[in-house]
Amino acid sequence: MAVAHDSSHDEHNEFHSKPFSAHHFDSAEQQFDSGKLGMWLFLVTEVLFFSGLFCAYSVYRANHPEIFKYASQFLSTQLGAINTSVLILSSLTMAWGVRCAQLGKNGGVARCMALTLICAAFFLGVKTFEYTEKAHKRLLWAGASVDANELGKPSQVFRFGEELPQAEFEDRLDTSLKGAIRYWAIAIVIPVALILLGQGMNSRKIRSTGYAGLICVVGIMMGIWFSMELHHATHAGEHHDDSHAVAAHETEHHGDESHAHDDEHHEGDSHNAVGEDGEDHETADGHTVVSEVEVGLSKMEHDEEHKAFSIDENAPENINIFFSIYYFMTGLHGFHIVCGMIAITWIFVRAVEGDFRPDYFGPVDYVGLYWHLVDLIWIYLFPLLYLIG
Amino acid sequence: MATASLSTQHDDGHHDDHNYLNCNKSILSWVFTLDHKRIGLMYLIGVTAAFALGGVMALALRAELWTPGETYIKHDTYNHLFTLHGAVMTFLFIIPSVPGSLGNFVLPLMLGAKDVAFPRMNLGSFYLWLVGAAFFLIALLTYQLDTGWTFYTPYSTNTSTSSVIAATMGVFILGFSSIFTGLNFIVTIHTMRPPGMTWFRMPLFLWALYATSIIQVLATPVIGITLLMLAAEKYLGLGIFDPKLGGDPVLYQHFFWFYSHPAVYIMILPAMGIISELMSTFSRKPIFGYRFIAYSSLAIALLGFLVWGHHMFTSGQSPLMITVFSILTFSVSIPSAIKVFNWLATMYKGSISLATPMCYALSFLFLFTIGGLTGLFLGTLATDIHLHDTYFVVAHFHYVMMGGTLIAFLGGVYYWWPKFTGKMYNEFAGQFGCLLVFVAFNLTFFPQFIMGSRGMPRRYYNYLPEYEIFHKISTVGAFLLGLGLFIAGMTLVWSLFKGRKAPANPWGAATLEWTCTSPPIHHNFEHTPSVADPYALHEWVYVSEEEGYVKKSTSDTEHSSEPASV
Repeated sequence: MAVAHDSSHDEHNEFHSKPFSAHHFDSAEQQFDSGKLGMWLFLVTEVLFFSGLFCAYSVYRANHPEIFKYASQFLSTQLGAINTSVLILSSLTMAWGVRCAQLGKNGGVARCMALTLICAAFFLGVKTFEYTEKAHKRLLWAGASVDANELGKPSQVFRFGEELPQAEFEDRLDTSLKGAIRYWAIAIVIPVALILLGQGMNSRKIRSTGYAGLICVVGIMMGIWFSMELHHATHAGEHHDDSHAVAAHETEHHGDESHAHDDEHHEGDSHNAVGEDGEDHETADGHTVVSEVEVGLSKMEHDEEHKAFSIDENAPENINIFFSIYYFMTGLHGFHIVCGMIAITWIFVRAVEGDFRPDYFGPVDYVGLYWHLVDLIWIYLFPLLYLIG
Repeated sequence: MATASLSTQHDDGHHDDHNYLNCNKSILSWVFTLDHKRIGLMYLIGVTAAFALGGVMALALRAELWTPGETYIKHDTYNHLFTLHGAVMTFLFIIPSVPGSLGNFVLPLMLGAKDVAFPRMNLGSFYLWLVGAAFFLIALLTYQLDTGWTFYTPYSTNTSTSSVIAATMGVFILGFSSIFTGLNFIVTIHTMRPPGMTWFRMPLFLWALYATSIIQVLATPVIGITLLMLAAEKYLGLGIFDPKLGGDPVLYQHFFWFYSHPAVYIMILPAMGIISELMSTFSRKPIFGYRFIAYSSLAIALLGFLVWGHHMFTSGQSPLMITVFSILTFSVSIPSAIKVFNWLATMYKGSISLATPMCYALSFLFLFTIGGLTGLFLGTLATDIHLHDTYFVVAHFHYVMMGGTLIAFLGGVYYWWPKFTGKMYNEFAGQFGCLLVFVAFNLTFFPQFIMGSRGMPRRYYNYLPEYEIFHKISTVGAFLLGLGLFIAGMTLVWSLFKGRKAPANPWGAATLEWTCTSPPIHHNFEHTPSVADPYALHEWVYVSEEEGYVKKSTSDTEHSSEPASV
């Protein structure tokens, strides 16, 4: 015992003389293993965090397949696919960066982090375009569409049947997106100021933070610009496709007996009687609903006259519930992308400092794990939201 | 170390020996401390304050129930009070109580380690707890939260006021606090066990904390996302739980109980771990059925994830689901019973000493068994339909949560108090407090079983005259219980000023935390202690001049007060 203790003690001293060694660990290996296990456990909590949403998604998709089929037509598969590729590319650069860190090549880590950042920012740029486009089509979460109606501003509601004139929609979209690009062009002042500040204070850390910020802003602008160009290049055809898809869906929808409750005057009671049982679902007409929803139902009946809103005469009821789930899932994912970008910036700055070495590359590895998980979640979100039907 | 134990000073100064409490006295050294012992102590103070707050609300509720109709507060106030009593007790007290305070303090010591794996995350966990508590205070002061601690939709989203957001965000933040603690413990147990401490040479308290941490890591994120959805539902009209927009309020109940049932095991498992330590130490016998107790902790943790539906027997689930959930619910009683039988077997032919911690352990055994057995009535579909939402349920979970977790928590605090503070408390006062708590507890909650089975609904402000006698007994009991807990607390506070200095090992336990000084030094151990069987109690003998136990001479070098010779 004593002998073993001696040798470990020497190792211990050598370990503790190096920078970034935590005092309460005995060896670099123990420190790395602890961090890695901690990160994996954190990823487990992240998976479970999202699992609530995937669960909600499953429940609603099982109960209202027609809503998902119908509403997903409004998502651009093209943009989704591009974003998926961008994130997969960023996973590659991240994995490459981890390898560089393992070899102690800090320059390589910094370059890989820069590439990963630009991919992440590009992703957010494309997402900005998608959200803006949907906002102009009034494809919002359930509460938002009801509010627009209740506020007595029907002009704001995009009715699929009596489409907003294409030119007007394009104008509005263009104005918003150009505004967004202008906003980011102004925001570029912040990273530039950081770079100058770092220069003035002779602080490499501040300077490299500024460079990382610059990469982010440029990436977002590129993403917005790219999706705008893509939209201009294809919008006529895309629009045409949409109408087709909807028309095709309508016929399919009418054939679907078990969900033939798009009659607006019955106010989708059966949608609300989403008990666990299939029987309820078919027969419910507001009187046989399970008791737990009665409170909500009576309120709903009271609001009945306000609920005239619909996107399309033949659209299923409550299609905005799809967009609720869409915004919540992609929004939460986007938040994780932003957190990842902050973490990648941290790694970038440390790599520029030259902190990593073959026996200390844990932080790169942990951020890499996190980033792969964020990508993986998107890889599930893409087919579940964009590729339905 | 031996010299430190020999000193018999009665003043509260430790000027002759450094320990974690006095090694740095500045305020900032506490605010930014990364020391698990200080964080554990701050948690202990925090959860005790939260318990006091929740307890005062409980007494206010019991006082109101003295007579039918209005006794002294309005029905709205009554609703606010029972909501906050439940929420504060659950989220601010019981869930963080044992892991946050005792677990934080004891876990690295039991491993012979310097700290937990992520000390900064540990401090972060405590501060998140504080922020969560602040949100609860906002909910308290805005005085409008009346949803019950479960925040059921659609009431919480459509009718109730903005305090719901404050409270749910508080719970969200407390969830992260809980996740951080659990994650830290799992990693610490995996990577920082000393050489020689295999999984099956770990003290059972560590097994219990490990099982608890698994639940914290796996279940808590689900309540996080659920409450985020609830907030989005309320502010944006997300629609997922809102029937008006095509949503399903029962889905909320599924999500909520998917966390909140396992959370019940977050509350009880560490308590069971404490009892395992106390039973062995105070029976002067190695724990009986070590592996069974260890595995049963894991079994409870895993089965706990499969039973949430038993909270929703009357919420319109399909009969098949109810049957499945009912069967799974019964299965949890098997590992729980394994533990109880093993504790009884540990005591059999033991040399039982009725020191205060053991008094609490015996109370636990009695109260937890009643709580557990009455749970079977609620897990059975036919009886649950009758008993659902009555005082029978209230009595059941108070027997488990309070009679179980709180009593074990008190036992644990009394057990490790000498290690925490370096002070011995007055044994008679401790025992008297325990007896009063035990009697008053039964006086408070046993009548609730009777009136519950006769149909008194829970959460009601008013009641029929036939229940009045039970409510009166219960209220008297509650105030006596408050007195008992006050005496128990004051006994400990008193010891800080007047208690005699604690020896390193006052109880003769064989786990590693008793090999360092009381209180421990900043880095816990002079040098890494050697690992032995955690229940080898025969190796420790009572030495009267030290007023504590000392390990037999086989490994004398481990206890020399010389600086580490390595």
